[in-house]
Amino acid sequence: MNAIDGTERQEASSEGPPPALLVIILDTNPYAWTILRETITLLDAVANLQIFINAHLAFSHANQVAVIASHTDRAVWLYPTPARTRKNISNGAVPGPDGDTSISNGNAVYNSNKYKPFAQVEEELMASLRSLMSTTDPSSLESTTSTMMAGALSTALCYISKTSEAYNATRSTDPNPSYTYDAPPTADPNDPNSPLTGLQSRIFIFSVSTSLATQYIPLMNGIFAAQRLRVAIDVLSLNPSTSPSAFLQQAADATNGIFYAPPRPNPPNPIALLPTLLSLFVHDQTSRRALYMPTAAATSASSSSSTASTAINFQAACFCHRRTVTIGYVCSICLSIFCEECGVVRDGVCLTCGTRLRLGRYGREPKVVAGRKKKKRGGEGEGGTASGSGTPLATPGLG
Amino acid sequence: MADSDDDYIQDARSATPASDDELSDAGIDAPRGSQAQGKSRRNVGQDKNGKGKKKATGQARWEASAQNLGLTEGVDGGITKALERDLESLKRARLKKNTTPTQRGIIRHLILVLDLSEAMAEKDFKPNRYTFVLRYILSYIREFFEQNPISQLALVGMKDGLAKPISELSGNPNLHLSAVRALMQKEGQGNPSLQNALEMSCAMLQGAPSHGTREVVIVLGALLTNDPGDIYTTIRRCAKERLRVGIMGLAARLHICGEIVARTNGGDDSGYGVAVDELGLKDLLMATTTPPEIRGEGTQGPSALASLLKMGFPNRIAEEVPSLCACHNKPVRGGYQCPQCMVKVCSLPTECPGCGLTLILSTHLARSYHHLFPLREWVEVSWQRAREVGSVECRSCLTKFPEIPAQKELDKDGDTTMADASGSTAGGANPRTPNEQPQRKGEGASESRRYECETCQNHFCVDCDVFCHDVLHNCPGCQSQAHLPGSQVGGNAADGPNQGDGTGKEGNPAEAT
Ligand SMILES: [Zn+2]
Ligand SMILES: [Zn+2]
Ligand SMILES: [Zn+2]
Ligand SMILES: [Zn+2]
Ligand SMILES: [Zn+2]
Ligand SMILES: [Zn+2]
Repeated sequence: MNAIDGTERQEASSEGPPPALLVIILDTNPYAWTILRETITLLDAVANLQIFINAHLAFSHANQVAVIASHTDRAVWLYPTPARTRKNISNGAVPGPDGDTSISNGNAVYNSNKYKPFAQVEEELMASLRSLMSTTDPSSLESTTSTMMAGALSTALCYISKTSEAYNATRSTDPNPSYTYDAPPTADPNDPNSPLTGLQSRIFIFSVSTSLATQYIPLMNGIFAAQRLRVAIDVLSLNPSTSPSAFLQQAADATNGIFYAPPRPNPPNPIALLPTLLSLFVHDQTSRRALYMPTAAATSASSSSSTASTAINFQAACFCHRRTVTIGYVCSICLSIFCEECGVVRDGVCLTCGTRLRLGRYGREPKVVAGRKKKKRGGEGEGGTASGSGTPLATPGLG
Repeated sequence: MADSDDDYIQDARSATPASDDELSDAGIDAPRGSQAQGKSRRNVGQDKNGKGKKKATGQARWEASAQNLGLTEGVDGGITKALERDLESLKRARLKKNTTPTQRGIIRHLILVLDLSEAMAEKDFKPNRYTFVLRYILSYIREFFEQNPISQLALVGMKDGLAKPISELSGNPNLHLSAVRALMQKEGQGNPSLQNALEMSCAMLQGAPSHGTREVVIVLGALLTNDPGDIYTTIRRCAKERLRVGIMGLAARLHICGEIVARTNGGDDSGYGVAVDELGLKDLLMATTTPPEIRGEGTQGPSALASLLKMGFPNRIAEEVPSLCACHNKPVRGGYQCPQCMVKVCSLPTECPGCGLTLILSTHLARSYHHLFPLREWVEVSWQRAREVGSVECRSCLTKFPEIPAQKELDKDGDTTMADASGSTAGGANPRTPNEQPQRKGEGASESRRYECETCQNHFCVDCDVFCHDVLHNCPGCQSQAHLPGSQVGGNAADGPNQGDGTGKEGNPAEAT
């Protein structure tokens, strides 16, 4: 039989690096910013972010940017401005600083000395931010001190998915709709050296809040979706605690992003945010290949770099006490993690799914000793295989 | 279109009212696949008295899939508009419908049996069955481990009347990928033997622990099986060993395959499907990457197989100088340290070579949580509802929705819009009054192009709908609002075990430490 030459035509990409989409998630949690006030204020941070955004836009006219605020009680779009915010602003519900930000009609008069894309982002961003702050009432702040990071991340991923789909649709004439999310047969998504085509997207999380434990599952779902879309998640963590957020660190690690938590001097003094942004986070994936970038692992959170240089907190928290465990017990039905003291050990019922679990000799021996059981597999394996194919040898355990 | 494929076209016609003329008039480069007929396409294959003439269907396949698109003119004469909505319902049809949390076997042991016989040289799949299937298996393997990170897979090939292992039972995708890549250089030969393949699967799965599933998925291109003995004995043995067999045919339905599937699945032969075209095969195969529901077998309930597994969650360690890993005896820098016996391994998940403890990352478990806490289906939004809410753009991607017609127009045009919708979408909208709240879930395209999450009452576009349910498994709206209007707690993904753990602590202010 004639084997068929399966080589696919490769599209020649001669037009330089593909455009990049940067989605910034700005943590606007007022509690955290209050704690940070000695170090940096939100306004300063936004001003620095503005320059960072301009730098990104200046790289290529095709580059795009989007900004989402992760607030205490909601996650909202800052740029592009959603219609609802636009309406609030135009209704005058939001006081402008100079009283003249009329972006509602779409063609505001920008400062003619500014590059128009820069000015546009700046205007809209500031107006949305003011709108967000003015619609935050004290009562909504009382219920929680956390931030809606999972919502912001989900929103960012939807936006990236839609935007890159639209971008690919305009460029390729491929009749196959791309909604199947099939990996292309030739390009390995895990191979960092496979050619980059299409819109290059990344997410930059400016984090100031600490624990996100209540959003564990949605955050994890977001991380996996980002992996799937090959979106890097970069994290700049300014949170005032001693340990950087484990989940965001995992997010950066899993998506080949950068995690950076600058050392916290004592007493707190103002930090140089802009150099950090411009030296670490402004490069797109294409440029990063040529640079020696800090990864999630290599960035030391504290100054004692020699010892703790890579330890990422991968510890699991038990579902019963939220205690971190290194050895835990996992329900084979719902995969809930329990520590030794949990009720499940006592009455043999999973606390999450209610399944009655076989406990057996759970405590003494590791339960998944596949290899041990396999030893007693005897000759019955090849029962009726008269045609004499080789008896398969089941390998014990994984890999 | 050629007359010779009449029997084929009949299949397609029974599902859609489209005629040849309309299709050729349209002259559209039709996307592969069909609207809402992910369902009906499969039915064609599964039809008990389906025609056995599907042998030499070299040209018929693509014609049928073009036929399946079922292009019809919209009421306004615009074929594009009807086509857009077709695409929407097609996208939504691909969403998995099961959103009720079920107990699923998340720790799986799956043997993938590939037909590598002469029959695979047929060219009804492009470029031929052999290359197409193997190439697709590559992405299948990735998808499988994406969905089932703590599961194990093995590959078996059927050729020359024998069953030969392609790769051993392992949780390492690279092992399987390289084994399949090596196969791509070869060609199919000889006949397949289902009995030998089942025997071998039995043997391979014998040592699999009882809390995991034991599954066999067979991709069969040939219309025969070359068995050395009585296959029914083998089937009985498989059933006794708790094997669950699923079969994907490439050509036509075989009685024996139906028997195998039914007898190993407690009489349910829905695991046997015949792929009519390339997309059909992808659908059938992809469906097996979702963990199967756990059924009680015999007198045992599902819980009889559940057990508590002791697992280690190692920390990553960093080293200035490389040291040997316990798993491969290769010098590597960094790695993971077993919390029980402190040996170093280089990759996870794995079983500790020192003490036998299963070592995983918590992220591996987290990958499966969306099966346990699925995202609720979003509903179609009527114009009336869109007006009530006043949504103008997608909550998550800010794409503009089509404008809501004026109230007067709504009352007047209600019927024609409905007719348009029901005419062009097969699984789609039955005429309903505009006042009626949408009842059916996830069945077709929405007239207002909006889809609503009932928990947070936000409106989304179809792309975000598909993305959120297929990939993200979060609702961006629910996750973005601390106070949800729809329901207090809701059955959404936010309601995971971490929230339901009874401690009742939410966002404690003490987080700053
Ligand atoms: Zn506990
Ligand atoms: Zn459980
Ligand atoms: Zn190793
Ligand atoms: Zn060990
Ligand atoms: Zn959308
Ligand atoms: Zn929702």
